[in-house]
Amino acid sequence: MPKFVDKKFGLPYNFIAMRTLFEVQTGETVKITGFDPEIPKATFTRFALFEGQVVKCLAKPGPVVIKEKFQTIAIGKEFSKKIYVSKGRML
Amino acid sequence: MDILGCAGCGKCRPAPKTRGFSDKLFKDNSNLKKIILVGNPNVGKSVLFGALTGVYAEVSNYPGTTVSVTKAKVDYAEIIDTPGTYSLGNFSEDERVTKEIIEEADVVVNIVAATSLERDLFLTAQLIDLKIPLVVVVNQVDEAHAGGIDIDFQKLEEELGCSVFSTVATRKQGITEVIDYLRAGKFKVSDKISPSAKKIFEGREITQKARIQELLSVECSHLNTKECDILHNERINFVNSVIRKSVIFNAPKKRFINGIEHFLFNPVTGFVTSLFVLYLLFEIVGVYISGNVVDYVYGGLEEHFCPVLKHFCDTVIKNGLISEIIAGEFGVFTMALSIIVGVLIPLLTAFYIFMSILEDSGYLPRMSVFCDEMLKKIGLNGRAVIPLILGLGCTTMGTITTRILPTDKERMITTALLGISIPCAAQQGIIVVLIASIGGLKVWFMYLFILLSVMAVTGTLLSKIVKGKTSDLFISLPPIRVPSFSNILRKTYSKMVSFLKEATGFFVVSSIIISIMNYFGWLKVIEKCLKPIIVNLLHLPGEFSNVFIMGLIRRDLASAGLFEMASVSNMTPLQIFVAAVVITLFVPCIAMLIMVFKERGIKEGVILWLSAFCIAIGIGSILTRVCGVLF
Repeated sequence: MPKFVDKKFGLPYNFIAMRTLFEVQTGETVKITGFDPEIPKATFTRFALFEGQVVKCLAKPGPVVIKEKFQTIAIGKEFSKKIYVSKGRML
Repeated sequence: MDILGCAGCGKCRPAPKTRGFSDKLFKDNSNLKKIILVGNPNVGKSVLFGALTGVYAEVSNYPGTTVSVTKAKVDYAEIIDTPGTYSLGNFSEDERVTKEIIEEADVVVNIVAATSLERDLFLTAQLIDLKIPLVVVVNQVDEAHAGGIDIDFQKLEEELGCSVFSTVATRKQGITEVIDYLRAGKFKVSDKISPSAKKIFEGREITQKARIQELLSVECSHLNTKECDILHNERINFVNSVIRKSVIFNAPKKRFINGIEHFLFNPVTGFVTSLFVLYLLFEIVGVYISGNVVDYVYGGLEEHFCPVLKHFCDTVIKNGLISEIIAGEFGVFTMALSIIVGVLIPLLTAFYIFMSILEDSGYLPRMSVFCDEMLKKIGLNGRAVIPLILGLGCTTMGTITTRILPTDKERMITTALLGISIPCAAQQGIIVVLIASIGGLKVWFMYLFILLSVMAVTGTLLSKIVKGKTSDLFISLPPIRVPSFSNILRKTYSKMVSFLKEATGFFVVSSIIISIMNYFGWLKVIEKCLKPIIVNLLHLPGEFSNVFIMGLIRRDLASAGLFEMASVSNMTPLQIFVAAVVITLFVPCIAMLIMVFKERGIKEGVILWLSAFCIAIGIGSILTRVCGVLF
């Protein structure tokens, strides 16, 4: 068993190459790669958050405050743990 | 995290029905065509509604300002303003109500903000799939331009397949074109329906209502089905394609106001800002307005008007009871109207202006984010800040605004906090004046500390007792704006008028009743009965029983009574402080209680009333014994 294993998927982190929005640092720009299947996708799409969307973390005063092209959104801790991201570049 | 089911498919848990919404409001037999304004929260629906109808609907810079359905008739149609919604039929009561209104619509005006086009066009895509006559109004184009977003409206119209108008509703730009179009009545139905929706209704002609319900049952978010997923993906692709073809992104202009964002979210500077806002409130309302305007107006009335009126009653009317009612200690003119004109009108005007600036600047949603962690400890999320802060204006309004909270548990806890520990504007104005007279800023912060502690303990207990889950924060933050001077004045005027309409009757009737009771000596009997609580427990003068009775009717009336009492009797600073805390925590006013019955049911209303009474007396009796050293 590799040292750093994702509890959910049972695979090493470098294999999954995936973080959640909760782990993103302030100022970092990331690309949304997916959502936890337990949560209805509409929860995120109604805020224009979908796979491929590039967002920037503005602040983390508890909730994660992100900015996409058009708008600023505050996402609570629990929800932010359900959004998977990878490194991205703001368009 | 609490994920609600839809209201359409019938298989999953429906969104809880809030008792306050009136389903009959929009169902009448008028022959006028029905124009429904629909859009995401905070895109400017109410401003547009005001511009189209001339009727003022409250406008603010936070999502969830409109919590009920407003309608107005113009010569060519009936126009209905709906609460902001991200989609139809799912997630919340707002969305269910909006869906039901759309079922009856002749045309839907979908307002989208040019600053959040990507998000707002998802609702447009859903409306297109419903195959109803649709007009899209792109509002806030000035802000989008400042943010480096340029929209090709001709292209946008082609891509959406329906008429598109650009407006800056706050400046009434583009409104004439919208009115002319709506008056002409030649509406388009877009043919840009998603392939999935096309497939569902292929070869069938069904009613608008049936189409809406059938489509919503397919895209039930709770089920997360493959069909639903495909439909969502088609809409995502549609929106992305529309934006790619009709929107150009330039480098945004650097604005000083954008830097404030980081400042407000910083834990240290954000906290300091909150304290500074409270300090400003105290300085403006408690020191400046009370020290100058109230002293001048109320002092003038007490010094010149009341003695003349008393003399007139004594010499001309010569009837003890009528004189008592007109110009007695609790008289209609000497107490009720003097307090309204001399104290409440100046204090409330200042308070409402202050609150309007906070509401319109976009500070409230940022405060929601900042307070999220703290509020989680008492079973709420950051969004509860909005009803709580609005409760500082009017607790009844705050109670209605709890509708924006997604779960029943949050609505219940917030209503309880509003009923117990949030003073309304009128009450607060008077209390700030009283506190300023006994010890200034130190006592003001002590008063706030007590209220916050009661709030924390009540919230923590309720979060443990009340069943259900707390939802996680998920809000779109509106841009920070310089508040519009004209909107602040309009909003303040509208709130003042509604306060005077509601409160004047209560004040006058209460003052007549209390004057009659005073004339026949019944107040002395009540004073005797309440002596164990007021004198023995709270260590307050026996006459405080009058304030107590007023407090049963309205909290601001009780504050007015205390103000009157403190200015004529020899109450010590400690007694004034204890009395101020007791009437703040005292039972909710009649208007709020009726609203709690309506929103939460009679049982919860009665429990809230009794709890508030016990908490007020309990805290008051502790303070009177503990705080002696501080004065």
